[in-house]
Amino acid sequence: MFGRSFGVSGVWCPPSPHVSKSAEHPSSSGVLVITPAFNEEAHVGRLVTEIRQVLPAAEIVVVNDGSTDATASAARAAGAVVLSHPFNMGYGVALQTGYKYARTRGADYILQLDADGQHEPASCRDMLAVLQAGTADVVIGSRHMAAASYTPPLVRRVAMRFFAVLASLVLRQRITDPTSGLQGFRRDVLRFLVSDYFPVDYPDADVIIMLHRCGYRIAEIPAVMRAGTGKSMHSGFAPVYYVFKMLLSMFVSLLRRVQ
Amino acid sequence: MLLLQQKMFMAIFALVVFVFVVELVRRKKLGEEFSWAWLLGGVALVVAASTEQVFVWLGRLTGIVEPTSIVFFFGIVFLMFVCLQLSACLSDNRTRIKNLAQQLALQQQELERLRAERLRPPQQGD
Repeated sequence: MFGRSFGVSGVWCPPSPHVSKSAEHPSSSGVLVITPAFNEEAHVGRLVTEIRQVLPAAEIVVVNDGSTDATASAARAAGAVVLSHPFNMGYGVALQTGYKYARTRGADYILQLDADGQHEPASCRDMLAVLQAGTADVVIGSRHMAAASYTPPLVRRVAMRFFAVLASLVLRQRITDPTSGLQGFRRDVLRFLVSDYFPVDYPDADVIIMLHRCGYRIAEIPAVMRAGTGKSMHSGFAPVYYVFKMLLSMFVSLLRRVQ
Repeated sequence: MLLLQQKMFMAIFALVVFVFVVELVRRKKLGEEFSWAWLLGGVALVVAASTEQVFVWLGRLTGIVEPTSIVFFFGIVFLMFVCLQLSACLSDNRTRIKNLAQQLALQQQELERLRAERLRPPQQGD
């Protein structure tokens, strides 16, 4: 397992980041939900309330990624802990800020979902059940395993299918939705997620491959997804860069030496 | 072979680059770690301008016949190397800025939490 085998200088899996015991303020339930948000004042409050209904004891963290609207105050009013970036740094950086917070809180189970209303908070309960059962270290909510999910546009569907096939080949395990942002992790996985090896630039199928290479067990569960609020990060030249970046990132992660 | 006029131009250009880089370092506008590549480039130009043998040797090595083409080829290689070094430096700085901004967000939240705890009225059992 990663936690026991890695941390040697010169290999790619990260050494354990230093977090002093005094810096940890244990999360009450051990469950922490991360929601990265950029200009989501209209949805974030309702989302926090919905998560609270599903997981009443969980700590809910909204990472406000340099929003120019009232996202932070809306989230705070709904009872979430708010971490505010001084400027916009992107989805991946916002997620990692949440992971770093989870690490200082000593959370046992970390769940993440998007703030744009795409993910059903009810899925959190199913993901948590899988993690608590101890059968997987990483759990992915897959829209392709749920019948009633929203269907993305054709080009995105093709790209998603392509990366699903690639991820399945590398993992030698059927992965249907490696690009899903609805994910859950056990505490030990944070060791990788908070390191500089975590690809903050569109973290996606490459993260699944890296986690697999680090020895973590990955499982998928069905999750219903709705259409997001339309602020897709994949517009303009971005889809071309996304495919290039993902292929390069997957390729180099396979080249890295794992001890 | 290179004409005398070409050699003179290369040597003068190298001297100007050398003086300009040293002046930038003196004024702290350019860090020593970035100056070495430019100074090395200037020295290479002076050596190329003063020694005919360099072109003979480089021509044999690369198969390039024209001395001016040799100058252009190695000039482009040099600039590509500098660009790559700057890209690596930029990536490194981006990671550092990201880590700093994340640390700032975490510490700000911690400060808010401590402030709220301090302002909270004492309760029974506190």
